[in-house]
This record gives sequence, structure tokens and C-alpha cells, in this order.
Amino acid sequence: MFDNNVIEEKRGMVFSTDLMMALIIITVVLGVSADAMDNVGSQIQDYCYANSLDRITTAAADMMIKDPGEPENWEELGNFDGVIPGLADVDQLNKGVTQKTLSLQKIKCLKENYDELMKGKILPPYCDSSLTICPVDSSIEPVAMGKISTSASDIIVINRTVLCNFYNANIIVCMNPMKCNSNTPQPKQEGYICPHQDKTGNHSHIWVDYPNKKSGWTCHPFRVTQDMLNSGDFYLMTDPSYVTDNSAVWIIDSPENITKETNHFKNQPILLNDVIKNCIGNKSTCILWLHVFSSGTTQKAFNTYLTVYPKGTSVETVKIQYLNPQPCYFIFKVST
Amino acid sequence: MNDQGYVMSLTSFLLIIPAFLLLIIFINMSVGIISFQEAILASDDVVGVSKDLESQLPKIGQEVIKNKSEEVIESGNPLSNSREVIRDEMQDKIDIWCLKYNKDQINAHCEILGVDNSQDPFQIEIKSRINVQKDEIKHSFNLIQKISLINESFPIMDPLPFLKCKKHGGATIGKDKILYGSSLSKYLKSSGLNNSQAYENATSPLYIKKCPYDPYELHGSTSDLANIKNCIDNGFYHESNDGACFFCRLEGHGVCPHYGFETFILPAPSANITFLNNSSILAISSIDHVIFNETSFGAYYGHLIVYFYDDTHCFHLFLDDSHRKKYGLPPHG
Repeated sequence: MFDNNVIEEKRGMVFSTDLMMALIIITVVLGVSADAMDNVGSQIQDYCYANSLDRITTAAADMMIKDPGEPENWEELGNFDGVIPGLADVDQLNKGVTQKTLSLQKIKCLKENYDELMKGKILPPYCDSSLTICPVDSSIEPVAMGKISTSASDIIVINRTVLCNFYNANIIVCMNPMKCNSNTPQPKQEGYICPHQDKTGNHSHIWVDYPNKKSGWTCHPFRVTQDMLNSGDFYLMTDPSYVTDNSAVWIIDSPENITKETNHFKNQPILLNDVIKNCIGNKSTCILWLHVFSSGTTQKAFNTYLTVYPKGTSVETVKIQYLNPQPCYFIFKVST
Repeated sequence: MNDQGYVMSLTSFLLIIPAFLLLIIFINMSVGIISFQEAILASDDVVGVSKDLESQLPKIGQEVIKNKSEEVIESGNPLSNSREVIRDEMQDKIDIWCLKYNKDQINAHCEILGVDNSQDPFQIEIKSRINVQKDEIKHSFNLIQKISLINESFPIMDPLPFLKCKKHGGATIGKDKILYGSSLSKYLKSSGLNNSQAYENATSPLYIKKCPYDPYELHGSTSDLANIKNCIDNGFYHESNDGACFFCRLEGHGVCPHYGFETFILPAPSANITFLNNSSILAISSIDHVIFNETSFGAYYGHLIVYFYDDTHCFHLFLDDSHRKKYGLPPHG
């Protein structure tokens, strides 16, 4: 086909109509592809930009949740120069608790000095942010700080679940008798020998034995000082709150003043300040013992906690579920 | 266009080139996104493995200490360099643990840099470096962790008495106590100390437990010495500048330059009630670092102190004035 036309045609077709139309089509196609590349390039740039703010926010949230800050007790210092804030609770970190726990004191300190601590230290100065720590349990009030402008073009929101100890309860004694009685083959230390003894000096509070369903005692020492009595309220709590074991009783005494007077558990936390005041007397510091008697029946087993709450804490907030850090939502919003 | 339409065929050939270009660009982008996602996944894997190793190290450390202590007690042979031995054993165990990540193409390695005393004598400190690598992602960090010697789920036995008394008959294990039989009194006699027979059938605590009666003056704060009796019944250990640390105990040293702990070694209760009135009886002081002291001037004597008596027996100790002061007990005389 090609050959015939070349042989037959004597005029050289340099620029014909169809070539022009073909060139138009090629130009259109090239233009479209160039435009597409341009589009892709700007989309990538947008993606990176969004990602970068996303990355800043994620990194800031990670830093606040996982890091206790530098130095670790930054909330106690008056001056924040050279301080890097962080909200992780150092005690829980040291205990090796894997779930991230925040410290209420650090949160409060951050709330009071939000702008000074956030801009330039955790977030770049051109970013606005707000932080809300909202407990899952709706009866506890959330803590909110910071402000973002609602007209901002990009707002990145991070929502994480963390733990936070809202009530600052200090567990002094935790008795979990079932754990002590687990059937592990390795030799275990059985419990403490309390000062209660019979005439021959033998330990009279025989340990409870859950595997063999034998009733008995679980005893644990704890240290009390006058300062603790003045600044805190001592409560005795059980888990579950309603103790089904009818023979369960408790005693608190000191080695020099052993008492056989037992007390029953009530279905609510028991305030112990008077009992402890009687035991400690005028001494500045004293070691007391908590003795708990249980029947040894697995179905009626319960845990006992002796806790200290800051003085004046209302009884409604003294609950087992608030002893351990409570889950809450960490809602962090960042905008430019 | 002519009948054969050859121009369009050339054009359509030229059209293919930009089409190919576009195709290449889009494929490149999607491959780029995929490799980005892969890198994120690899990074998550690496972080997960490093967290795993971080949590596994203390457990391995606890096991190693417990096993080494039991080994030393059974064999009666002290370790020559307890820190190195524990470090090497932990290194072996963690290397075996790291092998299991190889099947996921993750190269994990933990190097235990050293095992040493911590500020708290009831804890030891482990320094390590963890390296984890998957494909191109690497994560490396140093770690300092503490292992408790007083963990209730991993009770650690005190090896020192067994090592010291091996040549004199050996100590045996009773229920939560070390029973010396005649070995301790023979040991004291061979060291040239007086009144070694006071320690015939002595006992001391087996497991290392920390005393809650802190500050230690509380031991003697009551007139009937109820606190010290309870401390002795429970077999608690107390922090002490002169007491041997755990590593030195594994090496068979009764004293060491590190901050360690001490406990009471109890003479057998006496059926002789005249003890009650005779507080001038002297014997070597009932503290383990005094009894197991390797130097001749480190062993000192203490006067008798009775902390409990019932109808038949008299429970007593020998304590020198400095230890009496430490535990809040009345001085002799």
C-alpha cells in the first residue's frame, strides 16, 4: 500500500491535512499526560503535607503518652526552662506496667501552663492544639486544656485509650489469698508470720488454704506514720464489695498490742482512721498488721485492700474500680 | 486520510508512547505506596520484637539468679566471678530466645553488657543493648533494668551459709530455714573463736525477704521485744553496709565492699532458764557477716539478749552494742 503511493505520487507530502490532525491529537494527548503528571505531583505534595502534620501530631501524642518528660519530676519544678513535658506516670513505668498510664499531677501542671509547655517544645510554634482527657466512666469529670481555631483548614485528631489514676489512691496492702495458694510446683514463700502466737510462741494465725478448703488467716504488715494519718483517710475495701463469706473477719493491731477482737466486713468501704489512731498512739511511725480470716472456700474468696485517700475524699468516690488507674480517652487535636 | 489510513496508524503508534509513559508513572506511584506500607509494617514488627525482648529480659534474669543460687547451694562450690557467670548464662538464654524470630526474617540480638549491684541491695541491675533488624529497618537501644531478689514468685535462697559450712559438715534445708546442726559450731571453733558451742543447732532464714520494720529502730521499740521476735520468726533480711551483697554471697564472701544485707543467725533455744538472768554470757554476735567474716578482726562478740521465753525454752541472741543500737535494742549493762 505504502509502496504504490510513493511510486505513483510525484508531489512530496511534507505537510498534509491528516498529518496536521494527527499532530493535534498527539499534542492533546501529550498535554493531558503532562497535566496528569502535574496533578499527581501536587497530590503527592498534598499527601506529604497532610502526612507531615499527621506525623507531627502522632509524634507529639506518642511523646506525651509514653514519655514521663525530662526531668521526670518536671511538674514539681517551678521553672519550665529546658524542660520537656511528658505525661507518663513514672511509678507505673518502673513497675513495668505495659498499658500506658498518665499521671494526674502532670496533667494538672500541663493544664495550668499549656501554651508555654506545648509550643516550641512538643509542637512547632505555628500549630495550635487542644487536649481533652475524658474518662470512660462518665461520673468522673474530664480534663480539657488548650484551644484550636475552628476555622483552620486542617485539623488532625488523635484519639487514644490510656489509663489515668484520677483519685490518687494509694494501696498500702493488697491481699489476694487465692494467688498465694496457687498450685505451682516450685517452692513458694507462703505469707507473713504475724505476731499472733500462742503460749509456746507458735504462730497462732494459721494460713488459709484454698486448695484444701481449710479456713485460716492472711496477715500483712504495713507502715503508718503520723503524717499519713493527718493527711489521709484510711479505708478497708474488698473485691467484691459484698462479702458472701459469713466467717470473714478482720483485725488491725500492732505487735506490742495484740488484740483478738475481730470486726466484720460491711458491704461498703470501712473508714479506719480511728482504729489506726488507737494502734499507733503517740508514736511517729509504727508497723501495724492487718489480719483477715476467711473460710477457704473458693467461691466465697475475696481480695482485701487497705488504701489511703487524700484527706476529705468523699465516700462516693471510694470504690474498688477507682483504685487502679481508670481507662480514659486521650483526645488530642492539632491545627495550623 | 486516504483509503488505507496509514497516517492514523503512525499517529496511533505515537499515541502509545504517552500512554505507556502514564502507565509507568502510575505503576511507579503504586509500587512506591506499597513499599512505603511494607516499611511501616516492618517497622511495627521491629518495635514489637524489641518490646518483647525488653519484657523478657527481667524474667530470664530472675530465672538465672534463682537457678544459680540453687546450683551453688547443691554443689557447695562458690562461683569464681558471679557477675560474669550470671551475665554469660543470661546471654546464652537470651540468644536462644532471639533465635525464634529468625523465621519471620527478623534479626534480633540482645547483648548483655553487664550485671551488677543496684543502689537497693535487694535488687540487681542489668545493662543490655538490643539490636533488631528487618529488611532495611534497624532499631538499636540501650537498656538498664532492675531485677528484684525479693519477688514472691521467684524466692531466692541465701547461698552463703551453705558455702561457708560445707567443709564442716554442711548445712541442711529445713522448712523455710537453714539448719546448721554442728557445722556452724565446728566452723567457729576452727576459726579460733570462743564459745562456739553456743551455735550448736543454730538456724537462719533460707529465703531472702526484706524486713518491713523500717526504720530498724522499731525492732526494739517495745518493752516485750515483740517486733524483733516477729522479725526473727519471719526470717527477714536488713540492709547493711557491712553485710555481703548477693553477688559476693554467691562467691562465698561473708563481707564485701558493696552495700549488702544481713540477717540474724539464731542459736538454738535453750531449755536452761538461768539464761534469762545471765546477760553477761558472751559469744560471737548473731549476725551473718560477723560470723562468716573472713578477717580475724571482723569477728566480734556480743552479749546475750533474750527476746522471748515460754514455759520451757528461752529464745535468745548474742548482739554487740553497735547492732543493738541499729535495731533499737537496749545496750548491755
